[in-house]
Amino acid sequence: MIRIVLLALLPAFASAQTLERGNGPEPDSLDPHRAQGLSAQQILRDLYEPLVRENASGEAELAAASGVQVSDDGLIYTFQLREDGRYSDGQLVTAEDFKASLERALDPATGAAYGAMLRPIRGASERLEGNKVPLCIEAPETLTLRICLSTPRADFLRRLSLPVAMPVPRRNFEHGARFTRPGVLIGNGAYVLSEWVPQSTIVLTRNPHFRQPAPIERVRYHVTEDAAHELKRFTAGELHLTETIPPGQAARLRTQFGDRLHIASAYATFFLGFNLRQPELKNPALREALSLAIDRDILTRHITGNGELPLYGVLPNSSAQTIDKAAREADARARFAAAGFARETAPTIELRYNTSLVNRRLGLAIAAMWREVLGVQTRLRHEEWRSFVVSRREARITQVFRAGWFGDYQDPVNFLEPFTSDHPLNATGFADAEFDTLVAQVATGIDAENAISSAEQRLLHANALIPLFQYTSKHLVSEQICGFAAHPLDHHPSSSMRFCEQRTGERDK
Amino acid sequence: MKWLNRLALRAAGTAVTLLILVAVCLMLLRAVPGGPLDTERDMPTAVRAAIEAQYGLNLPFTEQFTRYLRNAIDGRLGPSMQYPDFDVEELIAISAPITITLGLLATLLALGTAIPIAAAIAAEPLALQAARTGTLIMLAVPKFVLAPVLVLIFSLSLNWLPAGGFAWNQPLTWVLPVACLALPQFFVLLRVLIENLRAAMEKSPVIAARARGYSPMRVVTRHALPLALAQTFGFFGPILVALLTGSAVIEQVFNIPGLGRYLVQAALNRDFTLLIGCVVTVATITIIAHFLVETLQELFDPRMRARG
Repeated sequence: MIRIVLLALLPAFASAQTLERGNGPEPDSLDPHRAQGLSAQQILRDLYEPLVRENASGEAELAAASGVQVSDDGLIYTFQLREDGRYSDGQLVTAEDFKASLERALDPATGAAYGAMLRPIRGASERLEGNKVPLCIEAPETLTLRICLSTPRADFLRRLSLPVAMPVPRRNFEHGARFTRPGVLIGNGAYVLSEWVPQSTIVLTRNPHFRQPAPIERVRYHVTEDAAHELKRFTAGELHLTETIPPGQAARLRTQFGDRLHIASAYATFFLGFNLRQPELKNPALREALSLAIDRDILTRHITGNGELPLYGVLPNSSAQTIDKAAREADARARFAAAGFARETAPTIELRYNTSLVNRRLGLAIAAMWREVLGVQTRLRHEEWRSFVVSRREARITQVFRAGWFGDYQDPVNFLEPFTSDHPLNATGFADAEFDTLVAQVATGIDAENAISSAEQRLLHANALIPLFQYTSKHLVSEQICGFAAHPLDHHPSSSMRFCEQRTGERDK
Repeated sequence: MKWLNRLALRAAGTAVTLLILVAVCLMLLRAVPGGPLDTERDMPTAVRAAIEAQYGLNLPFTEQFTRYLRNAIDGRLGPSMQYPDFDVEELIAISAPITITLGLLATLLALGTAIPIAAAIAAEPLALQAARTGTLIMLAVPKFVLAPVLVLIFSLSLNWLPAGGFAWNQPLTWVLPVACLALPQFFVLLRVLIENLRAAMEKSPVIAARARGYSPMRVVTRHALPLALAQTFGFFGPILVALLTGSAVIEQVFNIPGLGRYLVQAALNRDFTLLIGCVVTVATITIIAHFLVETLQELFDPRMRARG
């Protein structure tokens, strides 16, 4: 009886036509140019449509553009925009809108952290440094957009799929810096912003002007910072889709939820970096020994435990080589001896990571492996995130540090460029002219396949890092929801999903 | 007249306290490693400089301080650094009422249950002993343990209440957070009330009432309880503070968009503007709460007035 009364008082929770999505932390901004967090980007892909997007099979496909021609020298991109491209206020999406929006993204005053992604555009780097040089973006016709690059970039199209290249119309950002309010924000995506309670929920409703109306009318994004609590809310039926699952619970949740648990390899890697500027770590044989001594299978099976793949290469999906444990450890000892060390003279090495329970467990396991195989003692140091980022970047006190990389788009260059000599994110201090040349070649796309594998081999051979595993994306999806598909970048546009019973009798399973 | 003077004195003291707080916050934030713009991204120098200039991060301490004060007096606390789409005063206006409402409800709930229970068992030695032991045990249970247990029982097993979230128009979302906040306070109050009741029973007016042959019930409710309550007021201040700080945990666990969450997140994100805004708000609430408690105490307890 009580239960019936209470349920009657509960109207808005998991109501039939609203998709309730867990979305991790509060989005930092819904301004496509300022947003940095993954949670914001997930929502932005519902609110705006860039020229191209990356689909689940890893291809770049046309979105707001209906066609694209690339000049033979790879420098000029001419986009034909869709004739039925409409903003949420009903107005046509024009080339002029894209031009104005890209110019805004490249204005330092906008504060676009991702602006650097647009650097291939001729004039963009100068703009980002505050020089008002002409920018090579033209809108010769209402629906024709022409962009020219300073050098050919094979990944340029994919870069245009990022939020920083989404078309914020001028009439919107002229409203002031904070145009991202319900009722004000004008997007060209499948949904429009209708409610935003910071730290709680963001509600989107179907954009009636979008060329293909989204099947689900309303989407409510919930801030879910704690995975364990998100799981409880999913179990209680308050969420249709979770952002993640708590670490190490895949097996249990598989039994409980069966195929409602979706785990897929993500285009993201977890590795340890060596600070090569530290005298203790200058010895390549020592670095190789430390890498060989780690049993990736144990880490992924018993510590992260959510389907992560052991990783031996720099790039995600690099072929997993399973080496016999005894042979690997013998090899590690041999390299350790070659480095001039013995068990008695083993050095003490610092392993630094950002504070988290999983990182701590990984650190303890790695320390145990190093001690057991080589006799190396490990000083585990943890720092809260912002301090850790600074220590790692400054590279003064770090020795071995935790690192991870989520591909912004699917191109190996994403994982290779941070190791080039003058890259601001190169925390290892790895500097190799040959590697730099190879990566530059990968970027232009000329004979890329060979350049990629040579660059990767060079980096591995130098032992500048210890690849550990490839991340997975993990979601629980309610049985009411159909159309959810694994995506290597974990992009899940709400418009791709629908309630299974929505079309009579049609069920995916 | 005397009242006005005291109020003015209070206000001046509050202002000085808040000034010192702001200065200390700014200094601490400058000293702490890692800033709001330290992320895993490669941010172009000019972009970084533009953002720093927007927030006055490039200014020397004294200028930063005076600029902050000037804006604060105009009621502008600036945009949050982590959530640039919002001004700090907006975020506080959304979050503070939630925290205050939940805190007040929790206080009322704790008081409303602790007083009758204390009155009922004050005369029963066995019940008293049980209450003392129970209190100790319950006080040792941290909120981040209590909350998931309540969720497990009331949301997952019984399916009566939502497991998280908050909405003003859905009072059911308030129930578990308020219960979690109130429970530890209830036990503190119960313990204090019982002890104070025991002490009050020995006081001469109560002994006199007993000597007149009033029923034990009447002795407790009419004579001992008012005395005990007056003694208990002193604990309200600390309880209110505990509710404000404790809300950080509860808000995190239940996904409630309150002030406590912002406080924690702003510190972790080095969100200078938001952090100072939250600290000042919490400090102001605390000072006002203490002031109200003292005033109430004087109203109820003539002895305090004599001292004042």
